[in-house]
This record gives sequence, C-alpha cells and structure tokens, in this order.
Amino acid sequence: MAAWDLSVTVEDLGLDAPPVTISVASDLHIGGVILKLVEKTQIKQDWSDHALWWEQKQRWLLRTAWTLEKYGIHADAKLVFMPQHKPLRLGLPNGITLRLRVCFSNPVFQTVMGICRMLNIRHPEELSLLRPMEEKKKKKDKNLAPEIYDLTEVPLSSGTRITFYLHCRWLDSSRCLLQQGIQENDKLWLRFKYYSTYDMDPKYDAVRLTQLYEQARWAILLEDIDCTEEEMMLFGALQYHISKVAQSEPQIMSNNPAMDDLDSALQSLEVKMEGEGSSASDLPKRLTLKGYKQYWFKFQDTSISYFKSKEESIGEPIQMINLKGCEVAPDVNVAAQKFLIRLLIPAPEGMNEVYLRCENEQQYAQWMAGCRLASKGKTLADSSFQSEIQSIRSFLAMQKTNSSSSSANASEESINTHSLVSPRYHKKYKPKQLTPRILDAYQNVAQLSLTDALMRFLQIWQALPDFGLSYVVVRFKGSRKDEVLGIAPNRLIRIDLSVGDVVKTWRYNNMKQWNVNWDIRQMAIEFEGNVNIAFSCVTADCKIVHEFIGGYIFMSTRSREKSETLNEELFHKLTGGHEAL
Amino acid sequence: MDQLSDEEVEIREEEEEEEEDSDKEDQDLDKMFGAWLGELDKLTQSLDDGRSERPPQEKPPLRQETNIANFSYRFSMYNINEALNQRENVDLDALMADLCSIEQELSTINAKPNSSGSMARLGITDTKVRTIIPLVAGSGTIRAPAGQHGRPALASNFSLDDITAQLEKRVRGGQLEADPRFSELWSLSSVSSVCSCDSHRFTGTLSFFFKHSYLDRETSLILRNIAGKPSHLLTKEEQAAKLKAENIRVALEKIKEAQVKKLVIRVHLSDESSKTMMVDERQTVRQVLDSLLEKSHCGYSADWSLVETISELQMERIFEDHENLVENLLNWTRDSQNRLMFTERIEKYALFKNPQNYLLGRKETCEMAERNKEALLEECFGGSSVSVPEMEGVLWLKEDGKKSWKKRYFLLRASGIYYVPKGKAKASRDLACFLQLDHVNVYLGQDYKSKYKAPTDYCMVLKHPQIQKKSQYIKYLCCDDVRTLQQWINSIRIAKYGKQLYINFQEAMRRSEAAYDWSSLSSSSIKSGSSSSSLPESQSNHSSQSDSGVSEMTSSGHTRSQSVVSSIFSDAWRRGTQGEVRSCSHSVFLPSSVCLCSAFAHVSPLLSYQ
Repeated sequence: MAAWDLSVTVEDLGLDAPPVTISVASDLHIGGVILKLVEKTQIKQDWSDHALWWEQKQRWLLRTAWTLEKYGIHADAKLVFMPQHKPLRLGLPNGITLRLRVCFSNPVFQTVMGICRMLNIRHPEELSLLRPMEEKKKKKDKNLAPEIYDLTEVPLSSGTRITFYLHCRWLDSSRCLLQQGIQENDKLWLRFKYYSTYDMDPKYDAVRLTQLYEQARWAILLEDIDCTEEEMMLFGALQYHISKVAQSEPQIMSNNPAMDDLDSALQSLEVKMEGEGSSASDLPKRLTLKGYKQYWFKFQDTSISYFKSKEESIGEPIQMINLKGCEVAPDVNVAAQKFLIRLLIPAPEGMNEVYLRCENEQQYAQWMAGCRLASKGKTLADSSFQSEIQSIRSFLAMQKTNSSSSSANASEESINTHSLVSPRYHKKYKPKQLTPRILDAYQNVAQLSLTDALMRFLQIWQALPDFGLSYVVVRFKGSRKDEVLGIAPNRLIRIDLSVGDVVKTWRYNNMKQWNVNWDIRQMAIEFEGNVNIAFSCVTADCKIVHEFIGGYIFMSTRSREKSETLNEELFHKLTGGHEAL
Repeated sequence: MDQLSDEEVEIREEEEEEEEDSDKEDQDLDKMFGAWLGELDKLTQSLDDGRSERPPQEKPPLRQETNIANFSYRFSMYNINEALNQRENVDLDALMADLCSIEQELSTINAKPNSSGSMARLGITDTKVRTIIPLVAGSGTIRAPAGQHGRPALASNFSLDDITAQLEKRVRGGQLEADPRFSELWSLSSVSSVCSCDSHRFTGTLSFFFKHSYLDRETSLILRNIAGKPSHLLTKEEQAAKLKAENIRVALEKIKEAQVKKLVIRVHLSDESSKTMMVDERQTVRQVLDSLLEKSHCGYSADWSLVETISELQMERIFEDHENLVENLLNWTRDSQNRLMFTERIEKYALFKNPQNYLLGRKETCEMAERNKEALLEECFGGSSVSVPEMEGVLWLKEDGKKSWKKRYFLLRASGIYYVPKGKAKASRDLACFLQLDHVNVYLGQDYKSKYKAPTDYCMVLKHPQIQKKSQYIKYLCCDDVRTLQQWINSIRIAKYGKQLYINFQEAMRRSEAAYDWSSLSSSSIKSGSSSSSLPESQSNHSSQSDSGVSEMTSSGHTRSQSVVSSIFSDAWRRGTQGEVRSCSHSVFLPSSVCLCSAFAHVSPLLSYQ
C-alpha cells in the first residue's frame, strides 16, 4: 500500500511549532500513527493520556485499532496530538473557582463524573456544566469574592419573574468538551441541574450538601425562585446561622454523650443556683399597661411560677404557668434597656399574653433561654441550655452593633442583612427593620447543628411551590405566541407568558413517548389518553429540553434500583438524542 | 397534697345518663369495684395525709420528685374511681382485658426469678409490705375500718398489714361466693395491691388478675391458703405459687419504676354505646386503635379512627395515627363536653386511596389506574422532601368576633396559609401570611351555617389544640363545596405532617393485611391448646411498642394474644351472667358477615371450656 505524508500538530511542542510530518499508509491503525509520532518528536515523557483530535470533523480518534482508512483520514486531514485531560477553570455554586484537570475527550456526562469524583460529590448525574454568563463589566475588581453572582449586576426588572438565561447555556452531556468549543483553561460552571436530590446523607455528602445549599441560597437571593416575605426571613435567618456555626464548627465537635450529660447536669446546677439567687423579674400583665409589678419568679421543669416575694417562694405560688407549647417572642431594645419576653400561652379560652420584663441582658438571656426550651418541652437541664443562652447573647450583641451603626466597623457579630435577603427587601425595609425580623426567625433555628441547618434550608427551598422548575421559551404547535415551558422533576407545565399562570400540567408518569425532530427543532410528546403536544424551542436548544426531560425520567428510575452504580447507558439512552442511536 | 389532686386529673369523662339496658351485673360490678377502689383511694389519701402531717423539718429534700412519683399513680386511680363513683357504665370487661394484658406483659419481664434474690433486690424487708388479697367478687362492698385513716404509724414506715387483714376477713367472711352466678367465673379472681412505702415516697400500682390471664385456679387457691404462713413451712407447690405471685410483684415494681402515666378513657362508638379502656401515656393513636380493634372484633380497615369532637365549638378532628393520644386528651378541660369517638371515617385515608383527587390540584374528581396511584404517591411522598399540593382559591373567612364572612383568595404553601391582599397580584412576595401551621391543627366545623351564619356548611377551623373555648385565636374558613373543603384539609395535613402521613397509611394497610392472616391462624391454634398455656409468651411489652424498637411482628403478635384473653373473658362473663348476650358493641360494627365469622372463630371454641 502506498505511503503518504500525514502532518500532525503536536501540542506539546508549542503553539508556534510546525506540524510534525510522518509517513503513513492507509492501513496503519491509529495506535501505529501515535507510535510514529512520538518517536519523531524524540521527547521522552508519558504520552499515555494523549490522543488525536481531528479538527475538521471535530472528533477524537480514540479507537486505536481502527485504521486511517476506516476513519476516512487522508493527507488533507488536520490532526492535533494532545492530552485528553486539560486544565479547566471551574466555578462552583459557592462562588469559588477551581482550576482542575478534566477530561476533554469523553462525553460531558463522564467528565462531570470525573470532576465529582475529585470533589467527592456523590450522584454526579444530578450535576452538569454550563457556560458562564457573559461578563459585561470587566473593570470590576477581580478580588471581589463571588464574581459570578454579583448582586449589583442583576437586573431587577419586576415584570419577568422567570429566568431563561440559565438554561440555554447547559452543555450537551453526550458530547465532549472540545466538541462544544471549550478550550483549555476556559471557565465553566458546575451546577446541580436536576432538582431531584437522591439519597442525601450528610455523613457522606458534605461537599454535595454545601454546594447544593450555596446554589439554593443564590437562587433565593437572586430571586430565581419566588418566596414570601416570611420565607425570605427564615432563609435569611438560616443563612446567618449557618455562616455563624460554620465558623465555630470545630469547637462543637466534641460529641461525647456522657460528657454531654455531665455538662448539662452541672449546668443545670448552676442555673438553679443563679435562678433562685438573683432572678427577680417583673410580671406585667396585659391589662395594666405600664404598671409592671415585681414578683419573685421561679423556673422549674417547664413551668414558671411567681410569688409575692422571695420569702414566700417556699409556699404556694400566686400562679404557675406551664410554658410547654407556648410561643415565645423577644421584645428587646438594647439601647432603651428594654428586655421583654412575650409569652403567648395557649389555654382553653384562647391565648394568654404575658410579658416578662427582665432587668438586664444577663437575666434576659437566661430567662429567654429557659422559656424557649420550656416551650419545646425541655427543661433547664437540657444540654442545649447554655448554647441557647449564648445565641441569645449574640443576638443582643448584634442589636448593639446595629443600633450604633454609625461607627459600624463590621464586627464579626454584626448582621449584614444585605447578604441574607434579596435586594427587594433592602429596598422595602431599612436594615433596622430587617434585623429584628430576621432575628425573630433566627430564634427558631438557632439550635440547629450545621448539618441540620443546611438540611432545613434545603427542605424549605424544596417545598417552595416553584421549586425545581427550569424554564424555556417555546412555541406550541398551532399557537402564534411564545409561551413558557416549565420543566419540573415530575411534570411539564405550560405557562402563559403574559399572565404568568399555569395553563396546563402534564406529568411524566403519563408520558408514553417523545420524539425530537432535529431538523425543524421540534419536540412531540405523547401522553396517555391520546394527549399529544408538540412545540419548538425558542430560547434553548432542542437538545437541552430533550435532555432535561430524559434526565428527569432517568432520575426517577433511581429510587427503584437503590444501587450505587450509575446506569450510564440508560442515561445516555434517555438523553443522548441522535448521538445515542 | 390535696390541691395537687385537682391538677392531677386533667381529663374527665363526660358524664352520661345511665344506659337503660345496662344489666344488673354491670352495676353490681360497678359497685364492687367502686367500693374497692374507693377503699384503695382512701388508703392512698391516708398515706398522703399521714405524710403531710409530718413536721416540716422531716420533709424530704426531694419533695418535687416525690410528687411526681405519686402523680402517675394517683392519676389513674382517680380516674377509675371517679368513673365508677359516678355510676357510669364502665366497660369493666374491656378494662379488665387491659389490665390483664399489662399483667401478662409484666409477668414476662422477669422470666427466671430467684425468689429470695428478687426479694433482696427489691428490698423487701419489713419496711416494705407486700400484700396479695384474694378477693372473691360479690355485689357487696368492702370497707376498711375508718380507723385506718391518718394512722400515726405513717410517721415511720407505714404498713398495710392490718388493712389487708381487715379486707381479707371481710371478703372471706362476708361475701364469699355470695353470688352463685359469679362463682363459676370469678371463683377466684385475685386482686393484688402492691404498695411500697418509705419515708420519701409512696407509690402504688393496682392490678387485677383473672384466672384466664395470669393466675390459674390452683395457684390462686394455694395463695389463698398460704396467706400468713411462714415461708419455711410452705410446700413445693405453695412455694411455686408464691414464686409466681412474686413475679407479678416484681413486674409491678417495674411498672411503678417506669412511672408511666395511665389514663382511663371512655371511647364512644357510633351506636351510642361506649367502651372504657386504659391508655398509656406513651401510646400512639395507632396503638390505641389497634387495641380497640382487637377488642371490638370489627373488621379491620384502615378507616377506623379516633375522632375528637369538641361540642362546645362544634368541631371535630381525626387524630393522626402517629399522634400521642394522652397528650392530646390532656388538652381537654376538666368540665369538658368533648368526646372521643371510635368510628370509621373514609376521609381519613381517602387521600391515599384516590391521590389523584388531592395531589394534582384538579378541580374535578377522576379515576386513576392503581399502578398510577402508587406511582403518584411514591413520587409525592417517596422522595426526600414532600411537596405540598398546590391549593389556592377563594375561601370565606369569618371576621373576628362577627358573624360575617369575607371572601379572600387563599394559598397554601409549606410555610403556611397565605392570602392575597387587596389590590395585589398573587406573586409570592406580595402574599400576606394568614397563619403558620406549626402550632395549629385543622378541624372540621359542623353545622356552621346555623351556628355562625356561614355561607355553606363546608367549614374548617384552625386553632391551637389547647384552645377549647371561643376565642379570637380560632380561625374559621368556609369553602363552597365539600370537595374543596376536603382538598384543603388534606393539603394542610400534608403541609403539617408530610411524609409521616404516608407512613401512617402504609402502616395501617400493613396491619389490615396482617389482621386477615391472623384470623385464620388463631382459630386453629386456640383449639389445640389449653386456654391459659396457649397464650404466646411474648417478650414484647405492649406499652413499649412506642419505643419503636419492637419489631412489627412481635408487637402485633402480642396484641393478638391480648385480644384472645379479652374475648375469652368477655364471652365467659356474658354467658355466665345471663342467658342472652346483650347487644355487644363489637358485633354492631362488623362491616360484613365474612368478618363476623373470622372474628368469632377464635372465640367459640372457648365457650365450651366453661
């Protein structure tokens, strides 16, 4: 067979180096080509990761046993010899950008698997890569931490609550990076794509959990997902708590139950002594507006009882109030030295409102902590008592720094409401108004451990009505206007773009089949009961929509198998499109 | 101590006119128990009195703790006593069965006792007194001498010896087998009272035995004969009997130590009859339902519910299976007219039987293939988070303190119920929070059209469970139709309980399947074995089922055995006391003849045992 010259660009020789020319025959297999190439360069190094990339055809020549003829390569082919793994800048949900070496030759799905293995994230099928948003203002200081999510750059048009920009940028999971124009050192985002978290176990999923949390957090702060004011305050409180606990986490690690018991026993002793020694509180009844009367109070189990004086505290109390199941709210103004505990105590007749006025911060913190525990049915002997006191103290400290914000030196304890709630609420409320509301919500989560707080945040996020919806603009067959297709983990919804109302819901459970016509970029889906829909995609590529639907169906198959091995083949079948054929 | 007793009893059964058809035996039994319990209660009081009469310097430092110890005991005592004194038609039959089962459980706790060892372990010296009173039931009363009250002996270690002797004498001498009808059945029922008394605390536990449940005839006879005999003179058999009794006592000690609060409650059935039973503070609604089902032999269905009706507010709520019953009942006031109903309610689990009507946010009911239903449920409840069904629409809201109703657009979210303020769109951020669900339960309002001039009778109420009277903190909502109402109520339940609701349903379904398997099994096993020895020696403790460590099989096995015990007793009792069987509550509820057969299958062979 006749020999002919094949020129190959060897990346390792540098960009400007001329291509290496080798003499080959058409029946030479790719492995032989590579061998010749390596010999010619005379560089001694590990070439095992290298492979040939055919530039015109945008494909890797990975089958080393195939001949040049079989691949259809002739003398005019532009081949590049380069490593399959190359560095990539990877933006994580928490704003950190990593530089790591990823595979450019395998389908993105496998590349993500590799990345997740490196980052120790289980269930990589839930994540994918997407192109970052165009960075409009390059002049911005690069050192500003989350360069991706800069709140100031987000247009706050109140009209459109649906965001489409994200979903048109997902990479095709069945093709490799290089095929999709991603070059070495390019920047991509790693995100959770399918909102169907499977088998989350904080024990093994530390990274996964935090990254998912960060993604959820930003989705809320950027109002990618809508929530009510109450929910926003709770999200804010949880964020505050999580960031606080995350800083002090190492100290909390000692988790010896025996020690815990001993500690709590000792603590309860302290409390008893202090409680009986120095705590005379006032009891203002609602009816006497300003007339606070002083009584001697005693805290026992989950009840408080009060006496005319300390001397009479051995006898029968004037009244004993069981706090189990009651609502406890702070009414505090540090500047005015007002320390009120508002108790809403359920009784057969309704709720009784009782205010306890404490003399000082110290006393307030203790009694407030006691009331909170008692409302949950816990006694002062509970191990969480001290930490409860601590969290109330820090709450007071925050108020202090906040009230004197003129000299606010952003101490660690101060609460930066800007990072906790979406910009809408900064406009609506002053920080002075926002802080107490967040802190009010904070009281209910202050006891959560870091993991529990993260899980709680995700739970509330997942319970939002619009959770898990990815939107694309489509045009339904026979319709003249653009409409929105929402893709959820279990259903498709059709939304009227002008009103924002859900017009129709289709569930995957009833789905019989779907087809994609790649030429006219149209999807046709058939549901049980002879329901057929067809639409063409406007904002995102057809492949993206196809992959979303197939991907969610794949996610729903996981629960039945409960196996650790990922059924890659099935995923590819469901999402690959014509690549899969 | 006296003012404490007021607080102790936070629950009372509704006073009720005596049923006309309640037979004489019932009353006789009532009397007997009433008197008997009254006696014990007095003893308790006298003990308490005695202690509180002590000079203050002798007061134990752990006074509070002592009170708690007493609390649990007196709580149940008071209830039984009260119920009986009010001449209510207490379902002693059922109550007995409960007590029997408690006994039986406890008897298994200490399987290999060492007589002297356990004595020593429990500190049985002359400071603690153990008494077993063989009591032959009669219609007469037993009275302890008045002199027992406030005995000076209380100052030191109190002894019950004398009282026991008195009781015993009276029983034997006066009323022994006075009623021939009873002799057949009750020829030897022993009632044991174990009291331990030391300077710091007094606790007691009351228990009843029947030959069928624990002590057989021989043992009881022996025990009666050896009363007072010095231990070294006892024969082998006598010692064995004593050992047996000892086991019971040890078990009772255990129960006392556990200090489990028990309530005697009255459960109303839909035919206006009622049952009295004892519930343990740890029992879930599911467990109580199970034992009610076992006792009433009604065909098992997941729809059986315990329903709380608050007549003063004209509302009701089906308790969820995972809820703690006692905790809920303690919300009732002392003079409460509330009722606890045991009844079948299809709406309890309709949500899971036809999920398509609740979870899909559809306006109209529709059919769905079973496999799709399962898939839908799995999808909604199987994952890590449960999404709340999308419920929104116009509802009527009752204005505070007025009888007028206002229309408002309400939305349900996991974080609570919201409404759209006037002039706003229904974008999430503009929603106003109506209420959050953490502290409230959802109730069904009854007949509010006439009570509150509601637009329709399809009303739901949201309130804190502790609120029992009219209050501004109760929120009333009215729907246009019953379907909307049911959708709202169920969606609120999902928002409130999430996955737990589905777990409850699955558990209920599992039990109903198991119940059918058992009904065929039980008839054969009982036939072959003798009555008392055939009882499975289950190691599982009925009350400890709430600890969730007990596997399903053992626990259900146990409740079954309890059912057998109670049915043996109830049938024997009925047959012995009268010719015709009074319309017993359970047969009324059998939904089909098939169930009737299976329910009676394991009872009938035992009737020949008489």
